[in-house]
Amino acid sequence: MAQGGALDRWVAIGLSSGIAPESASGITVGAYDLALWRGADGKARVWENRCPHRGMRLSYGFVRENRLSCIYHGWSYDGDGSCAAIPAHPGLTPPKTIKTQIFECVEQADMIWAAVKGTDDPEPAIPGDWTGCRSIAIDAPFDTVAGLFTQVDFQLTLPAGNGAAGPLTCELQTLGDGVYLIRPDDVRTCDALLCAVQPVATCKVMLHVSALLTGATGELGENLKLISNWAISLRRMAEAETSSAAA
Amino acid sequence: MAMDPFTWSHWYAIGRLEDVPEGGTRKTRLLGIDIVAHRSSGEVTVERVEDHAPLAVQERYGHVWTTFSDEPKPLYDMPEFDEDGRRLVTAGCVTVRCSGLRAVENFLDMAHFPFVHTGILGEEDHAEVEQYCVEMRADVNEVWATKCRFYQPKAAATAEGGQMTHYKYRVPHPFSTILYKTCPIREGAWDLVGLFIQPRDEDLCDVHSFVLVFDEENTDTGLLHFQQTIFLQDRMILENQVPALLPLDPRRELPTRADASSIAYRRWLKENGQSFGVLAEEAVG
Repeated sequence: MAQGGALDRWVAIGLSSGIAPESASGITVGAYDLALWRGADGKARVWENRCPHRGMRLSYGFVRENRLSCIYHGWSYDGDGSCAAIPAHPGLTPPKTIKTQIFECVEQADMIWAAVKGTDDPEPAIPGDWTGCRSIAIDAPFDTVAGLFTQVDFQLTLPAGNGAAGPLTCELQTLGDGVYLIRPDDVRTCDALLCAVQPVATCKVMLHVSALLTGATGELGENLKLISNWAISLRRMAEAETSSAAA
Repeated sequence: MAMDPFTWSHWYAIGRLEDVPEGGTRKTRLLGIDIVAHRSSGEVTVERVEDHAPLAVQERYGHVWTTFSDEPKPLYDMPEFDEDGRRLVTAGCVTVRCSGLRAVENFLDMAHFPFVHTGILGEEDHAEVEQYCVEMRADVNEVWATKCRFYQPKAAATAEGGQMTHYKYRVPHPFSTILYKTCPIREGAWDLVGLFIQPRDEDLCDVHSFVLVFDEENTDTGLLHFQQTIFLQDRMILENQVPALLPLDPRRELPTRADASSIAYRRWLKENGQSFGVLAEEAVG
């Protein structure tokens, strides 16, 4: 079960647009403290959020070209996790033993996905020209949020746009633990939505939402806003259910 | 809690003298134990909150010190506090969510200056740490790092422009460290900068910092702002080291030559049986 935040399976950890080239940020998946960074080459990488030197979180570091440097002592690491330079000793070739712990990382459906090295879980393959719409933090357990999708009478209460509103009949496909593909009959706002739940803590998840907008007839900005508002309504439901369960 | 006789045997600063004013009370915490200090008729008393057991007290180096031990190791000497012409400026207490041992180690480290104190204590174009000397002084059970040299754009509140600064570091106590640095205005003299760390819990500490300097130019406020700027930059690091406790197994965090003082400090802690604030030994793959 994904509740503990195991990265034995692929977990969506953010939208692709959430991490700009030559930047780094910190991500939590259950017990995993991760550094997500993107080089000038555009490639996203996910590492253990800890410099092997003195334990500093690498998410506070800086990216130049295709290297991530630790903010504490400037030790810099190549994309494969091996230490490339130690500024305190400019003449030294860093020993090969100095390596960060790296995770698998791919981008699919305009989202970034991570898993432990050597995972048995097949790499996500979600064809289509997806647009990342929204990442939203929800103060609810993973199972509560997943339950909103897997309940038998799931309805997409997405306003259809172009004046037509209300719940839409849709087909929901579970692609993995906490990963759902939704295809509404009415495609004026979107052809499909991909929703991926990232476990963060016992009572906290991130919900990432991407959309296929190729057939949508509504104005793009308006469609994105409708999808975003739908994500907010999901948060409201999940948090209400969580607080009533606690009461 | 990982208590050990070495930790237990020391005196700890729990605030400046002025933090316990006449008639005042200071509630605080030391080594996981709640304590309270009072001053009446000029005299400071400290007691354990739980059972009102009185603790030994002394006022030294501008601070109130206490200990839980019945036979404490004498508080280390700092003869510079008796020298004429020096000014003591304290920067108050900063609470940091990490083992106090991490804060000592960070203080001993020159290699972080260009990246954490950029433009003040170091700059990226001068990041090299030259070889320095580390000694374990067995007679006093202290760790020293000497002959340290580092290029600094603005070494102190009094410094104008860059200079090669000479440093000595002293660790006379697991939770205290003092830096002796070349005084920018008095040749041959050393200015002191130090940390008296009060370990509240294994992973939480109050850092009392001071400077003891020859400086007729800067106001107390100026000196305080300089110290606070530096220390708050360090705090960002200290609260983001994983784990918060200090690992002593050298396989857990990989050092280089520039870390000679850190290596010596960790070894010294290990030899003295320090366990409070230390990551419990575990198998490292």
